[in-house]
Amino acid sequence: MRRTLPGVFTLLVALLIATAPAIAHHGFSVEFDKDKCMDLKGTLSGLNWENPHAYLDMDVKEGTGKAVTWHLEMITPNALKRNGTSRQDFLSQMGKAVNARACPTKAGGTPYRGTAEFIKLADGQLRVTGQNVENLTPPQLHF
Amino acid sequence: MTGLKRRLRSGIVGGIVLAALCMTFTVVFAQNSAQAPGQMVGGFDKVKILPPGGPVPRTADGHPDLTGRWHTGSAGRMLQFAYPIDPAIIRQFDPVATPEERAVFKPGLPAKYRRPQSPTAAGECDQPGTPSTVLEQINQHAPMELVQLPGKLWMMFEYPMDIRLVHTDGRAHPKDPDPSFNGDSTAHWEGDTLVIDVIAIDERVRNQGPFLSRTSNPTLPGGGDTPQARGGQAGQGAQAAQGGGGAWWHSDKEHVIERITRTSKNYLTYQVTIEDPVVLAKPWKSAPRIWTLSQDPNDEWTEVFCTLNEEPAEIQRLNAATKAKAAVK
Repeated sequence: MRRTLPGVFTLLVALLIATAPAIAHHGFSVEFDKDKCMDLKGTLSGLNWENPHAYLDMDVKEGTGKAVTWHLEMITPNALKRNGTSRQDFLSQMGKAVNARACPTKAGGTPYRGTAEFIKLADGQLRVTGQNVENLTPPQLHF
Repeated sequence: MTGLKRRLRSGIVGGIVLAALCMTFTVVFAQNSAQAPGQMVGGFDKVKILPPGGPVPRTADGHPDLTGRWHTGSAGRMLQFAYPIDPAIIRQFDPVATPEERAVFKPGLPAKYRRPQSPTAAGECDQPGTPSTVLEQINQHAPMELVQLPGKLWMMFEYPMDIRLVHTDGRAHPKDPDPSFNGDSTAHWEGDTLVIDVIAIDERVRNQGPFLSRTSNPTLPGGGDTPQARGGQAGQGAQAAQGGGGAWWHSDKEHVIERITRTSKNYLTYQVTIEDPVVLAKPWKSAPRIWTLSQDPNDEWTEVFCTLNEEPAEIQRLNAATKAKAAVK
């Protein structure tokens, strides 16, 4: 990406803005733990395309071999659509591989629930689906 | 000659076929480029500050036509701020060129007007009312759609699905209007600026949005730009980058004056002044905030009906646990 105002200051300000959620209806920190975000790899198994948040389900096999289903919150459908990700993108990739940068609920929250910050469906394209509370840039994603 | 014609015809046909193949490959290549694996979808690398775009469209009566779907900032599209974008594109005003003053509250302001804590930390899809629905869009960054008709202007907000009727036929406010979240709006033209006068805004909606108080009164409990101060809602990053946010309750004496100016085909500015003799020591004036016309022909009004699907019980439980933990410390 070509930046019109290169420099450390610009980057810092941009990163600050990068934390602004898209149509956030509650604070991220109220419910989720930004210090425990992780890379998940699994199979896309479900989609809730509704407001104020879309959700995806992905089946993941844990290190112990246990099969679990993660329920991950995303931003609103209107924001997803206007930023390159449609309901059809999910439906066409259902049952296929999905990678997600996910942040789980805080301690005491429902297990295997969290947010999807970025995802990569089986079509191989990176998609912004969350608030990017970790201030990651696309090259910092490891999937 | 016949052979020459045949060769010429063959050459022309061959050229056409070759050109068609080149065009086909170009199209295929372009599509593949746009969808190459590993790329971030959304076209964020193409986001830019829009040019003026041409003269201001006008209605038959000669006034500017405000009709259009408008997005906050200078890009003419809804942006997902999770992707790093030049702040100059996102912001609605330049705080150096057009600084925005802080709200000044009356001394001894009763506690009931002070920084309102959200009644719950659970998901909110409440109607913020006038002028917060407009001001908070830099957080929510959903579009505002204006439909200008003879004698009226419809202001429609995708989030939270909200519709305002603004009379432009010269009528006065009703003598005793019923309070409503958006208030009673009547407008007139001052040159090319539509000036909207609003009264009777329900006291149960608060003034909120980035910049609005900007730690306007640090002596107020909860003053300052913290997620907690806003009930954990929205836009901390944008507020920090652009000067902070805040909220306050208003009185039934509040009077709001909005000024909308379409400055070119692509640009519109929105400026608001809030008068409240009970709460504010002096009127609060926003900077002129920039909106730009949606550029994507496929960008259509989208239903954003809030289903409260955010597991509010869990949010409340976790929030209570966090508060209890903090109290122990």
